[in-house]
Amino acid sequence: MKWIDSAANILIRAGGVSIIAIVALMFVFLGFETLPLFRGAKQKVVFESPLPGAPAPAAMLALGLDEYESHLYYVDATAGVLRFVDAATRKPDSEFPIRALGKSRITAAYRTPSRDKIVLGTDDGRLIFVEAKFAISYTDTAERTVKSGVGEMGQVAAVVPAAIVKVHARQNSTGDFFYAYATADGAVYSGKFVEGEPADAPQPVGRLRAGTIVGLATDYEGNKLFIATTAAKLYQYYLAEQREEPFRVYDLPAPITALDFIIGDVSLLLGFADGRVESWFGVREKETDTLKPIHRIHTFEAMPAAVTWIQPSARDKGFAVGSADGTLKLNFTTSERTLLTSKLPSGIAAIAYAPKLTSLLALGTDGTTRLTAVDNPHPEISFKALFGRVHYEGYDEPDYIWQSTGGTDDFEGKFSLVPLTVGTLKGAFYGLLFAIPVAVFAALYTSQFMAPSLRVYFKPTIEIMAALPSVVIGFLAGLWLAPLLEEVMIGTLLAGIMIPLAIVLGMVGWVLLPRTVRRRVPPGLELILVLPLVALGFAAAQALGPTVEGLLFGGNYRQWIFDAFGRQFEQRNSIVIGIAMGFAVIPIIFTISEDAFSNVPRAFRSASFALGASRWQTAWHVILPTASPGVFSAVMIGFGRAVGETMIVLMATGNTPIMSFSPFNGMRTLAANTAVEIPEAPMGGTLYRVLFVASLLLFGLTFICNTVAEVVRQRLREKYQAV
Amino acid sequence: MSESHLTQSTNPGTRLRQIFRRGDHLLWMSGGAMGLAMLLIAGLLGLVFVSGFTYFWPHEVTAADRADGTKLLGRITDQQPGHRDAGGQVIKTAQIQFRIGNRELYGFDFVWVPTAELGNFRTLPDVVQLERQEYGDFLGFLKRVESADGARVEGPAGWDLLLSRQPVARELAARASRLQRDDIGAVNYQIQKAKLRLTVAQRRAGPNGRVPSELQGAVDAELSRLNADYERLRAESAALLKQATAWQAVFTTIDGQEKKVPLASIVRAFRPNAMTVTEKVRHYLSRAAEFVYGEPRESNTEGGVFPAIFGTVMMTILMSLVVTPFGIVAAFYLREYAKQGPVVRIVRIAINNLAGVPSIVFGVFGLGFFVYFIGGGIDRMFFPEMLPTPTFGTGGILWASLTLALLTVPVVIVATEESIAAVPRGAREGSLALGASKFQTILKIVLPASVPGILTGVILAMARGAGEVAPLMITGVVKLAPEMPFDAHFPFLHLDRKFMHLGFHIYDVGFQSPNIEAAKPMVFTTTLLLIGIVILLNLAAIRLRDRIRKKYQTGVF
Repeated sequence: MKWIDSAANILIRAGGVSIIAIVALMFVFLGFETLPLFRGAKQKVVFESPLPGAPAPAAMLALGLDEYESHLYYVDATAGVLRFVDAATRKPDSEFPIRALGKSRITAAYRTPSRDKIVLGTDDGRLIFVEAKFAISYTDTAERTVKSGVGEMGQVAAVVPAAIVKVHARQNSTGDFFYAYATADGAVYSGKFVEGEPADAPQPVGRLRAGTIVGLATDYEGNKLFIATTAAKLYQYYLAEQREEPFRVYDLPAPITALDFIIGDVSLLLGFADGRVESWFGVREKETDTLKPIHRIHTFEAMPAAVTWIQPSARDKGFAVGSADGTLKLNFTTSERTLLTSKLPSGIAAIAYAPKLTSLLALGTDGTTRLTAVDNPHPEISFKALFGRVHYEGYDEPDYIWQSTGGTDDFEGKFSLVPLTVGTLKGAFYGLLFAIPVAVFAALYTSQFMAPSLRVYFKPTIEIMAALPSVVIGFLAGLWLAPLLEEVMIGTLLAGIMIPLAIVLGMVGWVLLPRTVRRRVPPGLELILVLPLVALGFAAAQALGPTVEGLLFGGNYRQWIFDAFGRQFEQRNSIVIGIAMGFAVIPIIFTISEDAFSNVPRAFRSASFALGASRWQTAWHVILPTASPGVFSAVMIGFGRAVGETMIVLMATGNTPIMSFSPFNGMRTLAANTAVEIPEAPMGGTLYRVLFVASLLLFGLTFICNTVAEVVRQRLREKYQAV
Repeated sequence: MSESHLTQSTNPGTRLRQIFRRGDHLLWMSGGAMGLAMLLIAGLLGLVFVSGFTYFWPHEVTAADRADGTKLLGRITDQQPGHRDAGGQVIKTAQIQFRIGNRELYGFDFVWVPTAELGNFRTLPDVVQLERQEYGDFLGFLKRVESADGARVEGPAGWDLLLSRQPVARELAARASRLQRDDIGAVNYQIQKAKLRLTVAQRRAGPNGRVPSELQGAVDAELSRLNADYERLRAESAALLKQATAWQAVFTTIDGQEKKVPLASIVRAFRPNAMTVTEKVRHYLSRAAEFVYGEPRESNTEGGVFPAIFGTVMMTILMSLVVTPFGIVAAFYLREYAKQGPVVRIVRIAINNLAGVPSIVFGVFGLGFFVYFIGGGIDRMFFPEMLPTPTFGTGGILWASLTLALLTVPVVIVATEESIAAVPRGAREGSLALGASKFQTILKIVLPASVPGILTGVILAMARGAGEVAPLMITGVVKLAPEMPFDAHFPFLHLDRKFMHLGFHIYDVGFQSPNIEAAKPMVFTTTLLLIGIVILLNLAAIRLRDRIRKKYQTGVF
């Protein structure tokens, strides 16, 4: 028998400890899932050496990597070829002469970040569009082979036969190119190129500029054009409006040494001679502005020396930046984070990003080429991105915004948890606004005044309501109450005044009745009389509703709200939430505060009555203050429940993540947001982990509430025991 | 006691002043708070009961003429009174809502028509209402019944023929669909398994290896046999279906459009305006039975909710199978084995707090830990041949049940601890004094005495689990599960499958179906069912708890 005993001992201990461990694990796990968000990027150097057969770094142009990272490629300006290098062996794999080049030399090149498209500028003023091509095939054993090649798309004839020194281009979603280039004599031209069609002649851009051109950038509509010069000036053009004069000229504290657009062509990245790195984009100064002057929006960690290269990523709002001392950093605009810093022995001559952002290629001025594998899973998240005001692209000022997914690659994820937290607190606030008075007074009445014969029915009824599935309340609130309430809104708000009024009038009427009638209803059964009064008050309020609406709100309160607050009335609004959430929370607050009232020692009551206090005076001045910690704890637990409520909010609000405290608008809460978005969030992705942060926040909020409530309640219990 | 003081004054004014000073108006108002709460509860339950229970009742169908000469046939579902402001200006026009059915002809189920435009309301006795397999209800008049071989029957004989042929056609169609689902489903399942064997063998042999020829031969033979089976069954079901659709009925709508409906696609045909009460009751019961036992139709907005009931029950049972032993063991550990001190106190507070953690947080944990971490791990270890299609690495009934078990474990722990604490010391000490070991005492004395308390906890946990939706939404509930988590294929219990749930059904049909207005009555019925289950479970727990209290009260003294 003894062994059974000890076995049971071990088993029960193991079981007990393990269940507690699982509970603990839950919170540790939630926390661990969020940690990777705040870590930087990881890198691993694949190789770092000069490439055999490569020309001088200055002649290695349009450096790139294919999608599978099997090949590097570059344009060899001295030989006039596009050369592919096997990434594994680092040996030249194949090279293709650029036929359109003829006898001219390549003097400038630009590779568009999103695809392997290259624009070459020649010494006789032509533009040549070529493409690095990769044919993927699979063998029987599912091994991938990548065959490289070159595609020549066409060329743009010279306006004047002057050498091109800078070129920039963008490709729009239909495949058309918009380009801009600068020639050695300081002229700038821009135009459109469509593959397979005769190219239109490039159009000149006005040339009243100080200094020589160090860089230019055009957008994928061929409208915005920025030109930076050595005179520390940045010229902004809106080409569709005005080609001759710049729209604005910006005087900068230091000359720009590198510039490019981040994907989406809204943010302009600027690198300066003193090492500063900034992003700028257009902000309306007046409501009516259609053309936006640019402003400094984000500032990134400064480079130790002049910036030599800025390479935007092809998939997100990140970019790599290199400087003259060989420092290379990986930054992200939205979060202003620097995720990775590394150093090459010599200054950075060029940087290329692999299309899937998994590798980074850097070329040093001494010819050293370094390929690093990069793991950068969550660059867009920082503490500020989650909880601070962020100036997102296209917005006129920094704001708190939640918008986790967009349709395109150039969408800027907006992960501010603030509107969701505010929505959560707002929902709980309106819920408690309704629930606290009803629940606490109902509990006071039940414990102090109600006849025991009634109490045995009424108390369990309310208690069972605590188990009412919230999906049921949400369904009724969303599909039944919300449309109904829209019709009778004013009447229902009036009920807040009319019901108490009806009760007081009813009581007065009752008291004035002859004593013989009053005798029939003993104290404690007032409820029987009050029930019809509540109904009557509600009905009176509804009857008065249209009249009041006509008098105060011109007969249409929705219009009035719109005129007064400038916000559209929403059918599924906070009042609906308040009632529905209140309904869900009332049983909880009721049960706990009723307990607290009933547990006040009887002696307190008797003493108060003996001193001549009335029933209400006793309840209000003796019972309520004594039990107030219990009521507080009830409210805290009710608050915790309201904060975490998911289905009611999901079903009874419009779920728009706006920051508005208006009772006539809806909200989106942390809980509902998680329920809606996590099924769509890929595991381990940024959204997935941000939703874990939201859950953790929710957990923390409720845990604090519940712990405070629990501690208060235990204190109270000890106090009563002492009495 | 206070009333007697008060009545000493006979002057009504003085009496009133006294009353306000004594705060009786506030007392009445606190009664008003209680009254409001009760009225809200009564209103909610009343609304659900009335709407839920009247869903199956056949309602009168009204025909009316519109001012523009068109005719209208439908059930009047709502009326809005008109409203004029003080100057007599119309703010709102009076409107009547008709449920006109015939979705495929009109494009919508409901119309609102200004009352002023309507006239000549009449109740036509020969209006036929059809409940159909597709497109919802049909309202119209029977023209004739015809068969594929040219037979045509009109008039009252046609209606009788429709009533007699419809069940036959329906049965044939049901057999065809059973054949489709069960028999062809079984063949498909075997084909899949045979193919999987090849995939596994291929994987074992490596990328360059070959599958052993005997296995290849065996699988090929089996596949060809199964394919022959499949063809035969398909031909059989096609023949049945042809037979089933041989008869069809031709109807005209109120505006003169003709509509042919195969008898096999009519679920029920009735003339709501000509039905006797007995017929209506029979109709009611038949629909109620279909609701409970039937399969859903029209993306869940019609037909039954059996899969959802089944899913809810099965998930709740699985959950209680997990939560009961763990909850009891944890409670016994905390109460009987662990050293009472600050640590246990903190653990107890943590467990109490766990009950207040939002359910969605449990859902997120369940998704991350059970589904992706453990489920993904199981997939990598045991089902690599299925990847990248997840087997356990996606939401399923097992993960949903485990998540809810974690959510409800505090309920069981707290209830068990309470009932252990209520076992009289004397009984325990008596047992120990007689030489029983600690475990024997627990097993023979403490556990039996606390069984009702534990049961109360488990029932409360089940009630909570059955009503919870948010965590299930992300750990395995779907709107329409193609297969039940329990069926005739080995190993019968498929814990990896997704399932349907009453609560999610309410959310999905009420908020995400394409035709919310038409589906609303049905959602009320589902709601009624769910509330019924939860309240019954709670009442059972309360009854049980009261009994125990009584037992101990008599036991101690």
